[in-house]
Amino acid sequence: MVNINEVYKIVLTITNKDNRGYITPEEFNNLADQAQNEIFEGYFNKQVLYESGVAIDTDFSDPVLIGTEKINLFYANSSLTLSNNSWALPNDLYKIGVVSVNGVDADLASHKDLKYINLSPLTAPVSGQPVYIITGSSIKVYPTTVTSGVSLEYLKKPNKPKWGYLMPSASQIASGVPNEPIYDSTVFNPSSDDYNATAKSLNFELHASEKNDLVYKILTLAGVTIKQNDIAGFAQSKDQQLQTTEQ
Amino acid sequence: MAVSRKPLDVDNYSALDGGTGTAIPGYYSRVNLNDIINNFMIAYVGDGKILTKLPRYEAAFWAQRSVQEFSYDIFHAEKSIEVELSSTLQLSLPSDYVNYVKISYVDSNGNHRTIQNTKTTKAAKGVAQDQDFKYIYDQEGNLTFNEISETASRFQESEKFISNKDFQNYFDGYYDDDDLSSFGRRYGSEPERQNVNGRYLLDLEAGKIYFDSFFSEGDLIVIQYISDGLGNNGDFANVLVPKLAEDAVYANMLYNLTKIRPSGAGAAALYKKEAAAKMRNAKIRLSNLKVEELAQVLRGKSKWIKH
Repeated sequence: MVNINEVYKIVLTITNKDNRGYITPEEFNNLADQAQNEIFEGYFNKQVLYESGVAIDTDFSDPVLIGTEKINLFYANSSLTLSNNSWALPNDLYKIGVVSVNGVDADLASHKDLKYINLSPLTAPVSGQPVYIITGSSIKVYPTTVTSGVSLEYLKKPNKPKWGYLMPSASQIASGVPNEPIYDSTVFNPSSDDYNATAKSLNFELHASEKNDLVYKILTLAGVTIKQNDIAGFAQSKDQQLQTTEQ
Repeated sequence: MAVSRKPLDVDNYSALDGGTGTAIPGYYSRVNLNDIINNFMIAYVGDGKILTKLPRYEAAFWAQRSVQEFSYDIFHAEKSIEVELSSTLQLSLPSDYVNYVKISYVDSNGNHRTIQNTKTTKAAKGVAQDQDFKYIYDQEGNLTFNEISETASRFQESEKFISNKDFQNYFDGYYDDDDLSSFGRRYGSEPERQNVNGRYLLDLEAGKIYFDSFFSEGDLIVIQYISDGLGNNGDFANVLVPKLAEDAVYANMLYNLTKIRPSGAGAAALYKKEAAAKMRNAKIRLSNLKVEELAQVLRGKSKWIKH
């Protein structure tokens, strides 16, 4: 997890130098979400690259293991419920991992394969050999006699980060507090709280080692926003440098 | 769930031995198909292995094919059922029947007496005919057949020179001068017919066994047969493989799964040899030759053979 206030401070420090510009909390939150998603989705391509490359399995420096560790921060599981012969997938689903039927792993089959699987007496799904197909935002599990016990292990989408703030009161301003947003460290609950409200904060859900990458990516985007090419260029070169090091 | 990690605790002994286990006694000598498939998936499939990706249903398919092939000539896992004969003197073949090993009846001492298959007749489908000998068709225009062919019917009704089992018990299966029916029949007779154990007619198409009139209602018939081992493949926990052949099953699965994949085709020849060797080993292991038992049999060699 990366503290959002630390990232925001660094970004402000760099962008504010020589009074280049100011990134409002709302702008930052949007850029932060974009940066987090870019890094998150990049994990899966990197993982393939690592697995096909040279195997380094020294303690703490195995890229496959590190990648797995980063991805597994988004591990989630859920019991699915049956409705109209389909099992609805969770709303925060990013990738399907393992579908289990009463503790037995179900195989993912294509719609075409399923027809043959059902026809062969040796592959026809039974409770000890279940199969599922994906149908939009739900799955269908075979054998269709299964009516309970279907669970899903999956990767959830990262929650949108939020740098929340409170404005100083009149008495605080009178006592010398600058009339600027004050960071609110109260934890934001994505499922019940409102993103439009300014209060409460939610940290980045990425691995702690992603802090630098987050800063560079946000700066790249911020450089475009505030029309400062040198910032965008600097951040891009730092980001590339970081990517090269990671590979 | 595999039980091999904890074989000696109270949960794995039956009530007969004071245990609380629900597993069938002797279970430990076998491994079920679920365990085989799971073991295979974890040991042979994954990154850096010859099979990088494999759906479980495909592993299950080849595991079942292995069990089928092994059941025919390696497992020696003949099934045996005892059935009381009805007045029709017919039996249905077991639902998981593939071929028979032996069909016998149980005599009063509990011995199995082998019944010979008749060689003088074959099962035939009796076409239904009217009084003008024309074929009878059903409403859809399909040819109809009699429930039992005249061949089978006459076979069942044929009189045998020995009509009851008291006679057989008295003479203990040997001919005697008192048996007038044997007069003039000793020369040119077939030794396989020189017994009093009756005969049967096998009709594979109808899925029935017809017995001749030597038998009567209430006789106990034992059918020893081989199955493909998958009679209960709706639940892999009930499909069992002897542990002595477990490795051969893995090898057979590996060979079959690699030979159909371009990435594994190079290694397929090696796996084929390995699978063949392990199948041979399994066959030898399961032939169940015991030194002590073999020695007893061979001691009979020193006996005089009297003429």
